[in-house]
Amino acid sequence: MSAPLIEISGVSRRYPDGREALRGVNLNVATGEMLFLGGPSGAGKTTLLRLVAGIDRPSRGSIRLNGQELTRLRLPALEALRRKIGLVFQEHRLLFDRSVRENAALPLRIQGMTAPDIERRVGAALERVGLAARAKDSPWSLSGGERQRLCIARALVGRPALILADEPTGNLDHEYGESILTLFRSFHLAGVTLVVATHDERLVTRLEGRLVHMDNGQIVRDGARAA
Amino acid sequence: MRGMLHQHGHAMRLALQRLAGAPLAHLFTILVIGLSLALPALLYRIVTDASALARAQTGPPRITVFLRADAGEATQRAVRSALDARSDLASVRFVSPAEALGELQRRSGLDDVLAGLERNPLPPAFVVQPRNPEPRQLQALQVELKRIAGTDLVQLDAEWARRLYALGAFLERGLLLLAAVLVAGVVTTVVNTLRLQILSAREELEVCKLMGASDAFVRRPFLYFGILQMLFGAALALAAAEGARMALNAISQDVLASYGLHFVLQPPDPGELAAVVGFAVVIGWFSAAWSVWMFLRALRPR
Ligand SMILES: Nc1ncnc2c1ncn2[C@@H]1O[C@H](COP(=O)(O)OP(=O)(O)O)[C@@H](O)[C@H]1O
Ligand SMILES: [Mg+2]
Repeated sequence: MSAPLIEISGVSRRYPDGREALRGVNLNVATGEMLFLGGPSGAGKTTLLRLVAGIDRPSRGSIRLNGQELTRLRLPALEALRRKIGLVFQEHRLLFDRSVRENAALPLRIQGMTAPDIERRVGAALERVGLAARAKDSPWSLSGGERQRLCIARALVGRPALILADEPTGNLDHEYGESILTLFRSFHLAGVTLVVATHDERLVTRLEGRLVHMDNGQIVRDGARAA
Repeated sequence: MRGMLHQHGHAMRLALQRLAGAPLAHLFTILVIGLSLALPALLYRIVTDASALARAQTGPPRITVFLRADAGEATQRAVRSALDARSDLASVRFVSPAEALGELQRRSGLDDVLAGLERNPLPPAFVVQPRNPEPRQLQALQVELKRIAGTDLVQLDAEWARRLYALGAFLERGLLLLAAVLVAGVVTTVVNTLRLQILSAREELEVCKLMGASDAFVRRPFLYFGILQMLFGAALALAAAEGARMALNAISQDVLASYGLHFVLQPPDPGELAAVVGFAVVIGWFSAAWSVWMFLRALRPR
């Protein structure tokens, strides 16, 4: 078996207010794997994703991404690494004073891509999530589900090998949530490694992929399906 | 390389969009910047041109070194070579007693009285021109010249020129102080508008940082914004100062001309223009960099 893409060992995260969001987490994610992080709200899913993305640093333990120890990297190096990851944030974090197109283009602008390349890539990404017709609109005019899709378009526009998605189905009703998971499944089939946090494990039970259940800052089940 | 150019182009576009986004508010800021810079620019012009005029009216300061009345040729030669040896004198001119008497006769109109004298009472003298017109330097020089053997009285000419010089130095210092206060006001204004800009773009900055944008990337549009704002302010300042200059020149022609004084404020030279523009760019850049840095520092994970 090849070395895992993500190696998390003995990771704890204590916030400045003293709260321990993660306590001794061990987790390996193989390249090309589709992994769902389940567990109730407050279990530590978001915290774990932020650590893997290098947005936050663990208080203890080690996180290796592609064999590279994140805790030893300085901020600029962490940021350079993050530019190669597709991120879907729990709170969307869309820019409402920009068009749908500009929102999707943001990662490419950050990478310093030229205008024609951006145009092409953004067009393809919006097409993929079914928002091509809304390119010029404001995110204000999008429904909840469409906003989630825009977040996903923004995450995949840079063609990352790793996508970290935090509650990408949000509070959507079941049907809409499933259509988004179908999208993730297509990324999985294309070889992208996916880590998807969700508090709604029923959504993922019918999908292939690994389910890791967290509670109270720890992994309590790995691989087993929710009832 | 093309990507880099593209990023700068994008940052510039964002900055222009910000300026155009709230034109009235930014126009007001630019007005404040412009007028705050116009005042010192205009005063600088007035002080430099007025001192130039004063210097032209009074001529350079001179020191007259009188020799003892009985000083012979040998003493004269000794004093002359002592003066010639000094590097702080621009020129040394000998005035013989006869020459001095002739001058006195011409100036005073006491021809008859002076012609009646059986002996020329005036001593031989040297008139020297110091290189440094600064009053304290002149005084020190005066003391040193007195120490040369054979000299008697060393007299500093044109006391009022020295006073004028002191007044000019005082005005220059006051101007510097005023400029410092106004510039501090400009920096405060620019930093404050930038802070507001950053606050209104807070979400954008945070999202960009989350997605791995470098500090340089998120700073760039604000640098352009700060520099553009200052450049517009500087352009306004130059235009206002130029308008005021022409108005003052019109007035001075009416008022001063009747006193036989010809005083015209000169337009700024290229060096001064470059200084104003350079100053604007530096202040705009610095204010923006500082504001963004303060914001980013607060974003760092703890
Ligand atoms: N920035 C923070 N400061 C303090 N406590 C936090 C912070 N972020 C999260 N927490 C706490 O850490 C725990 C885990 O939170 P989180 O990782 O968001 O869980 P989840 O995403 O599974 O809902 C919660 O108890 C939460 O209140
Ligand atoms: Mg969460």
